[in-house]
Amino acid sequence: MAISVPVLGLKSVLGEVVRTKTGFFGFGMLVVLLALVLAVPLVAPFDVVREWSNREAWLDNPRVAAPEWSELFAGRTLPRTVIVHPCFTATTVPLSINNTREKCPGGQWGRLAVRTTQFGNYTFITMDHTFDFVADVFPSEISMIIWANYGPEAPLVEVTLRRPDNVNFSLFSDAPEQRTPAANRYPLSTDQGLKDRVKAWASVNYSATSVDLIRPEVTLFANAGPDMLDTHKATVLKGKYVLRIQASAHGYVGMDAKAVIYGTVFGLAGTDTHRRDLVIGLLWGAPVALAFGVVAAVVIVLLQTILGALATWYGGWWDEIIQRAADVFLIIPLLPILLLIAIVYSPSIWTTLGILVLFGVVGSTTKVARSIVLQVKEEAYIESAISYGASRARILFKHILPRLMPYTFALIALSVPAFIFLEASLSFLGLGDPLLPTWGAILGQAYTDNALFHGLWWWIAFPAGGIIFATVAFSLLGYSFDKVLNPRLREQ
Amino acid sequence: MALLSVRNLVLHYRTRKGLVRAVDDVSFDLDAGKTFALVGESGCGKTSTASAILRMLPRNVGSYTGQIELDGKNLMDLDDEAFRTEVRWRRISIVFQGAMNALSPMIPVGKQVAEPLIVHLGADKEEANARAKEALMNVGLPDYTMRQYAHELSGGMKQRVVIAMALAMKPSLVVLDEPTSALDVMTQANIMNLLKGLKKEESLSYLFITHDLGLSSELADVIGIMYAGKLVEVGPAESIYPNPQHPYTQKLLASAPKLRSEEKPDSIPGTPPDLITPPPGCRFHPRCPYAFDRCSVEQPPFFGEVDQAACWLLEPGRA
Repeated sequence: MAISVPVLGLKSVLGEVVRTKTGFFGFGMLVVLLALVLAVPLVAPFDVVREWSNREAWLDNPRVAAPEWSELFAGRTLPRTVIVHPCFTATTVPLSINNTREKCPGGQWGRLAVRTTQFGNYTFITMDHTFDFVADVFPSEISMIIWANYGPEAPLVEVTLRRPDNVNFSLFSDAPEQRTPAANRYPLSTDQGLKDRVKAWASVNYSATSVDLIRPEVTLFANAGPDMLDTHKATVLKGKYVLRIQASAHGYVGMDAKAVIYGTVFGLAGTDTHRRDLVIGLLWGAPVALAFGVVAAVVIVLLQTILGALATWYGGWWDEIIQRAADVFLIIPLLPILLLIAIVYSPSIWTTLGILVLFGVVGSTTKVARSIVLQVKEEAYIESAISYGASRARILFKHILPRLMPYTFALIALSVPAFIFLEASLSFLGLGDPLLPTWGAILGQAYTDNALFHGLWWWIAFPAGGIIFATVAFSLLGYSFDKVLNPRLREQ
Repeated sequence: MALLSVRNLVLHYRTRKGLVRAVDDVSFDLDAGKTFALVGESGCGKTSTASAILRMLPRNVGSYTGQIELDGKNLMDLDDEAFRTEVRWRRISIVFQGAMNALSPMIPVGKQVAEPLIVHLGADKEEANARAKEALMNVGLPDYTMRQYAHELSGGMKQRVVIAMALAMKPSLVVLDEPTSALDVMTQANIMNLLKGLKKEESLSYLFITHDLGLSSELADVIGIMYAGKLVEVGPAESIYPNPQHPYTQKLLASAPKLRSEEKPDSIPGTPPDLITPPPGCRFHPRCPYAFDRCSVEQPPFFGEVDQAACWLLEPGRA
C-alpha cells in the first residue's frame, strides 16, 4: 500500500508536534537542556574545564565526596570542607619586620610576627585560626601547605591543634626546606609519623584500645576516651578547634600556610576519585553531548537528504551509484571502525565527528529522501515549474526540498539520541576526547574506579541521568514528529 | 503570417507494449490574436500536442519530429537550455489541466506567480512581487491573495492564480490545457469570461485544448478536431459548428445534448482506437457509418478550402 506524502509546512508540523503530549514533554525537556547549556558558561567558565584533567587544580576538594544535600537522607550533619586560606600569595610571602603585627590581607589566619635582637637576631611568627567543627561525622582528610621565605636558615615550624576540651596536640614540627614559591606539602592523613604519635597519645593519655587502621583525622576530632582510635566507634568532639602555627628562626624569615580539613560532602553532585567537582563535568557534559549529537545528526541527515534528493531528481547513473553506496554504507558496522580509528589516531571529539560524517554521507535517510522525491516529482506543480522554465536545480531547492524538510526534522530528532549514545559509548570505553568532561567519560571513570562497588552512587546516577534525559527528550520529540507526519500513526 | 505554425508534428512514446503514436503528423496554424481550439476525446493526443509544443517530454519519448515555428523561427532548432530560457513562459506559457495541483502547497501563491519573473528576468524580489500583484489583480484576485497558500483558495481562485502566472510574463502564446475541466459550471463560465476579457485586453493568442465542443465555441476562432493522434478537421468556428464536414465531427456535435429539443443525443459506436496499433487508412473508419473500401486502405488527405477535413467522402469529383 502506498502512503502518500502529506503536504505539511514546517511551521504547522512544529505546531502540531508541540500539541501532542509526547511532543510537549520532549520540547519542554529540550528547553531545559538548552537553558542548561546557556547557563553553563556562567556557572562554570571554560577555564575550569581546561583544568578538568589537571589533578593539581582540584586538590582542595575532598576525594569521592557525596553531594551536600545527601545529608538530608543521612539524618546526620556531614562535614563540609574547611579551607584556611593563606594570607599572602605564595610568591610574595614577606619577610618579617621588627615587632609588628602584620595584617593578613587575603587569608583567614590571625597573624603575628615578632622580630627581636634581644637574644641575638631572632624572628617569631605565630598564626592561628579558629573554626567550629559541629558535624556528626569525622573529616575525611587533613593536609597542610607551608610556604617559607628565609635567608640562610630555614625556620622551625610547629603546628598544633587545640581541641575544644583544651587539649593541645602537636601535629608536626618541621623545618620546611622549600623556599617560596615552592610549597612544602604535609599530607597529614597519610603521615606515618603522625599516625604513630596519635596512637601513642591516645593510648597513653586515654587508654584507647589500639586498632590496625589509625586515622589521625578521626582520633584528633574524637571525644577523648577508650574508643577514640576506633574509626567505627569514635564519636565527634564538637566545638571550637584552633589551628596554631608557630615558627622561629635566626634572622629574617617569612612564612605563610594553608590548611584543608576535608569534609565528606561537596557541592551539588559530589566529587570523584580525582577530587573533581562533578557538577562541572556534568554541566559541561550537556553542551558536549548536545553539540555532538545535534551536529552529527543535523549534518548527516541533511547530507543524506540532499544527496538522496539530488541523485533521485537528476536520476540516471548518479541515482544508481548513490543508492548502491547507501546499501553498502548501511551494512558497515560503525562502532568497530570508530574504535579502531580512536585507538590509532588521537581521539579528539572532532576526529570522531569527522569520521561519523564521512561514513554517514549516504545511509538510511538517502533511501527515505529517494522515496519521497519519487512521489513529489510526479506532482502537477513540478510540471508547472518545468513549464515556466525553472531550472532543475531551482525546482529541487524551491519545490522538492521544502517538501522533504518536515521529514528531515523528524529524522534529525530521532537520530540525535543515537549519536549521543555513540559518543557516550566511545567515552565510556576511554576512546572519547580525553580533555573534555563528557557524561560517558565520567561514567567510564566511575566504572574503572569501581564506583558502584564502593557505593558512590552520585558518580554513576548523574551522568547516566544526563544521558537518559537528553536522549529521552529527543526521542519524545522524534516520536511526536513521526506521529504527526506518518498518517498510519495518527491518532483517530 | 501565422504566429504559430506547426508542421508534421510527431510525438511517439515508447512503452513496453510498443510505440504509442500519441501525436502523428499534426499540422496547423495559429494567427496572432486568435484562438485555436484543439478538440477531441480523452486520449486523442491533445495534451501531447501541447507538451510537444512546450517540449515538456516524458523520458520515454520514441520520436519527436516536425516543425514548430513561432514567429517564423523553428523552435525545434533550439537546444534544451535555450528553449528553457528563451521560449518557456517568455514566448509560450501554459495553463495546466487541474490547476488545483499546479500550485506548490508549500509556497504562498504570490511567490509562485513571481517565480517565473525571477527565473527569467532576474527581477529582484520587490519588482517581481509588484508585478505578481498586478498579474493577480488582472485576473480579479485581491492583493492579499499574495500571502495565501494554495489550500486557502477555492478551485476557481486557484485557476485564476494559474492564469495570472501564465500571463505574468506577457507571452505571445498561451496554451490552455483544459483550463476549466476541474471546475463547476458557474466557475467555468467565470473563467471563460475572464479568459475572453484578457485576450482582448492583452491581445493574446490562445491554443485552447478541450474535449468540450460547446466550451470551445465560446473562445475559438479556428477549431481543430483531433482523433487518435491526428487532426481530422480544421476550420473556422463559424463554419464548423453549423456545417461539420468530417463524419467524426458530425458525430461529435450530434453527441452533445441539445437544449429545448426533444432530440436525444446521438452516440458514436465503438471505442477510440489503440494508439499502439491504429487502424490502417483513416483511423476513424471502424466507427464510421459511411466507411467504404478505400477508407481502410489509404490515409485520406485534407480536402476543402476554408473548412478542411481529412475524409475520402470529400474527395472532389466524388458525388
